[in-house]
Amino acid sequence: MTQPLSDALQRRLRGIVGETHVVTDPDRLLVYESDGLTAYRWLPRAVVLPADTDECAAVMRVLHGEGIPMVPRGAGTGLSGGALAPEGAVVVGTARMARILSLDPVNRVARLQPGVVNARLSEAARPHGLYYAPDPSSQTACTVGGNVAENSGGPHCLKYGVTSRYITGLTVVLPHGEVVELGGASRDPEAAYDLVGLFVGSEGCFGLATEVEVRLLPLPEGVRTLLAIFHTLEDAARAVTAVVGAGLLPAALEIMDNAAIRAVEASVFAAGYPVDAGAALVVEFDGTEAGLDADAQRAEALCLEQGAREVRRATSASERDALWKGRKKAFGAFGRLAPDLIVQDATVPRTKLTSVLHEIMDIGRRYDLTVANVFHAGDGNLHPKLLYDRRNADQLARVEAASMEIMAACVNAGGTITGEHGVGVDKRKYMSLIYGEVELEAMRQAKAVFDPSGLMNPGKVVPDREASP
Amino acid sequence: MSRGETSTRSLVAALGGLLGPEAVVPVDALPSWEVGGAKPLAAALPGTVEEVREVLALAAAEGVGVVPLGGRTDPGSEAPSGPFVVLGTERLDGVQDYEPADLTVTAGAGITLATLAATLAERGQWLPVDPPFAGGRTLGGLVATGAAGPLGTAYGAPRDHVLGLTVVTGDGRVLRLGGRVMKNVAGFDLVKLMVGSRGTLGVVVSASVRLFPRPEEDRLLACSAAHPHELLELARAVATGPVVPASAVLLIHGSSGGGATLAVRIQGASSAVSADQARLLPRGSAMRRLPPEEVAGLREQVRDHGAVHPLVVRASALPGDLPELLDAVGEALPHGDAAADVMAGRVRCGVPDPEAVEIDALRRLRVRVGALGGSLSVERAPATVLEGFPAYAPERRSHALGVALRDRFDPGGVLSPGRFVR
Repeated sequence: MTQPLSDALQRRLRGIVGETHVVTDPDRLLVYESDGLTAYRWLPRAVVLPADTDECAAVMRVLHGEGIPMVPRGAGTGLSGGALAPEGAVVVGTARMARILSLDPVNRVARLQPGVVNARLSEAARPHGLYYAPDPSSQTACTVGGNVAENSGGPHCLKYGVTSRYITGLTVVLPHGEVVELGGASRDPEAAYDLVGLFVGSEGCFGLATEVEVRLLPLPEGVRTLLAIFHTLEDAARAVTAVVGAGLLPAALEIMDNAAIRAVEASVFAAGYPVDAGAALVVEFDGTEAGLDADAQRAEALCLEQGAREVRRATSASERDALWKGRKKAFGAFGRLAPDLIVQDATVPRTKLTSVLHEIMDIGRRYDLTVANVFHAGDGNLHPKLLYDRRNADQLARVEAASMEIMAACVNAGGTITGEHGVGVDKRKYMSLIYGEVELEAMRQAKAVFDPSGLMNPGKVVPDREASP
Repeated sequence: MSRGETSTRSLVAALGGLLGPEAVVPVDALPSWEVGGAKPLAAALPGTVEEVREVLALAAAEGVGVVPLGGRTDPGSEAPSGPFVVLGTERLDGVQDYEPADLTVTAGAGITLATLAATLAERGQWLPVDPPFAGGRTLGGLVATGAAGPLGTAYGAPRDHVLGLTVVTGDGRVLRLGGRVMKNVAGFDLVKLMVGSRGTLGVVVSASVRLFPRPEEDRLLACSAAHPHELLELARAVATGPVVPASAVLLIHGSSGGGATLAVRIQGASSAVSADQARLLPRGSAMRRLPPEEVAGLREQVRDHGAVHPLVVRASALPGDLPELLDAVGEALPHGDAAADVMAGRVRCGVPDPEAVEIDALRRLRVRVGALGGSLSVERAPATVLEGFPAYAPERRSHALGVALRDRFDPGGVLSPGRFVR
């Protein structure tokens, strides 16, 4: 059992952040014992909630001086266990760092604290005709700081790219409390190493970003959303290849398979998808109004050519919202079907989608597990969902074994073990599927530059030197 | 430190022994392989990953540096700090894997962007980058410089396009980083670290990049004026308008009378491009669509303007500070040819007569650009200029991290010694 912090240390931390912002009460700590990956529950030693860069630096200096490991945490929506506190670690949470510091519509940049919720940033930018492009499915809960740590994606990456494209600068507290400035929108990006790019996606292992500078985009003038219903998943996957092959660049191309459709339709998020369909494909175009109808018509024709039994068009904003709600809330809809759920995350080349999906379904059958697929088809980013009950040890073991096989199948198809959820705790064991020891060692070296004492989110991302799985 | 002729001859012989004599550039051709005005001892052209490692190992054993070069269009202005050999990537060429339906391609570092573009065009695809002399640049050079050109704001920079890399670190480790899929967050993003590291962390051997469908229509609009100030209002309207154009560049012809041209490129479906044009430009704007016979010439200027001169600097700021940035550049380099990326807030300015430029004027310029929060770098310069004026101003509050990273990936200090982050 993990040791509580000494009274003296608690006093020092409370002296920095205020009496109520150091959490040590075991009941209150329970909130922080897991993140979106609920299979793991690790109780932190304490949680400290600094209000700004200075407080954060002071807190980290103290913890570093005591040799105490630190784990940054945003909203705790991460799906790979990145915010779990290993033995003896203190969580440094960003909940109180939730202000948008500036929003500059002329230069289309905003500066904010890491605890700002993703969707709130776009809301704040909207009056200026701007928005923040990365939109992970958890965007109404997850924080921009968490998105920076995970290099989060979302359904619209196909056209707009992932978080790293939109982060122009960072203020980072290094584990020993030093504050560094990385990048900046006014800086020449070709005049130094891309430390912003290196930091984004480092999963809290390099330091804690206390200020984030982001690039905003003008809101698209118009949007067209189609829902194509297919008899089979294969037809839907072929339609995706056809749309991309035709030179169209949709903002999003999302597939839900039959199991996912059923789960959504049986839940409060029901969006009117036919429950007997093999797959539903959401195709969205955005941009200048004048070009959208032509794009949508071409995509519709291509879907029909690939065997779509029906193509619906969202004609109003509310229809579009309903359609997306089914897709974005699919995760929540599975709650009815099983007590626990693991969302896998892997990317394969788009042309390998059909064969890999076949393999995944086959693996599910062999391990007698319910597997549902909701995924970013345009990017080849798969999210097989494996349903289980954590109290059933045998079933949990089968989920573990099936997950490993699914990862291997994706890697064999030329893919990777995570497209947007990160490695965290959960996927360290898969890292050796794609990297050799020489690459893993290079990653350890990069981390050591930022975190020579190894106190920053230890036990995450890169497997330890000796214990390769 | 100078090396004896004998030891240089034995180095050349050793390289010939490793790679075969045809893979070592003849001595009389070496002047065209100069780096920052310094002549290399030799230029070697390895054809495999293993040969790259051997060249690095030999150089390390001989105590000489290695400067990787691709198309030699943008070798950087700094001279290496000691004797060095050039590692040319031209034999590491060829498309290795092109899957049009995946919108990805993997190719050797030495392939030129022109060759790559021709392959991609056959399938209606392209890699949307336009740094100076883009066609002659190599894929490896694009990765090493990270240079996007004016298309960067709309499409992203090389850092956003590069999906995976094979690199050889200074100490000879072969790293296969990233992959060839669109989204990949497995492990720390060393690909981003390598992109734009200018041959100081590793030698790029091959790269996988994401591609885009070629736009149906590619339209160039232009408007000229006797003085750049007359175009600033229009430039600002474009930069803050409701549409992000493919690129928007203000060309200033300082060496030939001071006239200026604003060039705006709009791409997309034909039906959308005309609408974009109308949304982007204020009513009554003097912008006109360029006749087809003038498009190629202006497009080339947008890419290369100013970059041909013997002294070329690059200044950055926020796009909203472009007027101040242009004033500062114009004052320091009154006869410079400048290309201002209106969307990014960056200016490249080339000067045909560097002798006329006072080092103090450059120093003052760096201070003024710094006051805007920006940075000033020297892309090309005669050695005399760089003696008193470093090509890069260190990033104040993160420089030590860069130096430490360099030490990890090139512990022996073999790669591009004395250049870039140091």
